[in-house]
Amino acid sequence: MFREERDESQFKWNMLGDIKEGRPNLGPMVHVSVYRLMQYTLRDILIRDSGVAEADRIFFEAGKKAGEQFCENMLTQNGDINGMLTELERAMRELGIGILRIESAVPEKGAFVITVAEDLDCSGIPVCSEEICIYDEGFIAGLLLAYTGKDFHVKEVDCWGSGGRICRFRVDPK
Amino acid sequence: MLSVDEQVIDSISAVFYHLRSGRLPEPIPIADDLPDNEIRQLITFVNRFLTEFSPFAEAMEQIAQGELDSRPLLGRMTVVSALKTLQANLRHVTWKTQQIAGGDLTQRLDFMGDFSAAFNSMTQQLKDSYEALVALNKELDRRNQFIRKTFGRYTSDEIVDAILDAPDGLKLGGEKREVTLLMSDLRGFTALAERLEPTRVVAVLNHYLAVMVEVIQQSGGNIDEIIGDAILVIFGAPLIMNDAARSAVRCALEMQQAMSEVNEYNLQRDWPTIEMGIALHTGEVIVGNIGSTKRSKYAVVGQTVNLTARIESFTVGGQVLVSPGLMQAAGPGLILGADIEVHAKGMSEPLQCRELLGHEDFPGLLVDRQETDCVMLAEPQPLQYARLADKHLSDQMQPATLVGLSQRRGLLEACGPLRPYDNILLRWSPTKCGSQELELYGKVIRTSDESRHCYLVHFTSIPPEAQTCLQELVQRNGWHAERHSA
Repeated sequence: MFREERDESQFKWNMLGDIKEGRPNLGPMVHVSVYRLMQYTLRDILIRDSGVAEADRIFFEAGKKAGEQFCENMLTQNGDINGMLTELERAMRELGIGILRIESAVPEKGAFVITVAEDLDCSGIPVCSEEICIYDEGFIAGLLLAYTGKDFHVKEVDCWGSGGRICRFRVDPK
Repeated sequence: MLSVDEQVIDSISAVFYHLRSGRLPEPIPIADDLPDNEIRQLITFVNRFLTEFSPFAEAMEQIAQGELDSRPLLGRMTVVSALKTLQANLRHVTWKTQQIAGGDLTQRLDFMGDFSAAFNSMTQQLKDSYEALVALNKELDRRNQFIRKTFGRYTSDEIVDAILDAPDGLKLGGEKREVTLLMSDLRGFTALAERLEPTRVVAVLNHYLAVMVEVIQQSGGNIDEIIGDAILVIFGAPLIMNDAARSAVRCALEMQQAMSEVNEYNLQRDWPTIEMGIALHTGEVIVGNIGSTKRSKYAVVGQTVNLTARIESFTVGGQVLVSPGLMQAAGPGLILGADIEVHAKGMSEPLQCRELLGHEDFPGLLVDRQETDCVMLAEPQPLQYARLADKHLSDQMQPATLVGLSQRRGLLEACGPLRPYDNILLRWSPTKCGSQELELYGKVIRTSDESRHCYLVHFTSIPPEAQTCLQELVQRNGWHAERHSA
């Protein structure tokens, strides 16, 4: 299930398990540093073994898969895209992923500018002149793909890593 | 040892002096021969600061003016990052406001300190107000539906509005009240309906009712009931009307006048023309919400209602009959015609009703009672007749002779006595129509010659074939005219 060889994604939401049953005392929350420990060590080894471009591609694809699954399993997907974004804002806040804010949305053109403050991946990391939230780019692209059935180009233009205080993502149709 | 040119220090001082004075200075020129040392580096940093500060200041100015779409800011100064965050937040607030304007009152703004609290409080109040408004609308709709169900779908918007505006003044539990009732009915429509295609019957009736409902609603009358071609209108309930009788008089005259419009419309479509009789009566009734718990409606009951129906049964087409009660309530100004005695169950004396021809205050609404004189027929027409009770034959068919004729009336010599306002069925087999038996309905208007059992009859229903034959008879006998006042 988890370690089978595969050519296509076999991820299923139930792979996350029954956290209530599995962690009756500790509950569902975990320290942000633990999440980052896993992400940055994983990124470190991926870059060492496969290079930056391949590591970024893997992070983007994984984020996209996560976004699709998140949309299908965590959002009700009712109403228009503005309604979905509002619901996403609430879900991200409740799960501690980040403070999502919509700067602008032109659904008919498929153009959005989204910011995430206190981002789970990067807020507070050392400034390094790099936009590093590749996983988030994929996550947003996956969400929109699942919701609209269309592929979007998502680019992080501001990041804590590059000296900003919020992560800003520009979304355009592909 | 680093030597510093005083001019360089002056230039740097001037930059910060200008900045503090609210001006944006030009970068400091760097001479080519300036050594690559700490001084050159200092000037370079000052110039780089100016390069980043300039668009920052411009963006600040734009945001201050509410322009949130400034070009992307460069640089990593803390103030630039803070400004970008401020810009992002303001744009987010704009988006949130747009969502609220679009009807999504669940929007909340988080993590913006006092602003979030104020914004969320405002949105919550909007949501509460909106929900209260929706609840009020539902309540209003419920009351409106109750009133519509209670008073019927023909109650005018004005009356419904008045009821809604003064719900406390409306007693639905039942009370005695003096009202004026108007009852109208199409004469001979039952026989007409049997001759016509059902779709045509409905079309004729619907057009007629549409015109009448419009007239009645404009007069302030409340349509209590429409049963087939009959209309019962109340003046003075549920809303009290000080001039109920007078309004009813005007309404009846306007209804009769509107009949010419109805018939013109009918003729254009090759539909039959129709005639309407109206009765007006003023008296005490019991008004209130009458019915079962499942279905009830505002209605009137009492002898006044029955009497109005009785008076109405005495009318002929184009006529308005008014009771003594109405005449008293309406006051002066009525233009009245013939006396008509109405006999009703439980009344020892007949009711002395009058034909209403108009009202002095409404000179344009005179009832057209100009019936052409009867032509005495050179060829009297044999026919059969029988009296009707409740639209059914009450007698055997008897022989009679049609001796005179006008457009809507005939002089009939019967074989026995008839009473005024008897409804009769006539069977006629004119040779012109191939001796086909034709059925006409009529109402006895008055006695012409008691000794000869000769009566003036108003035809309430004439089939088209009979109409043609009657017209031919009138034309053929025109010069034998011995006129008889109809």
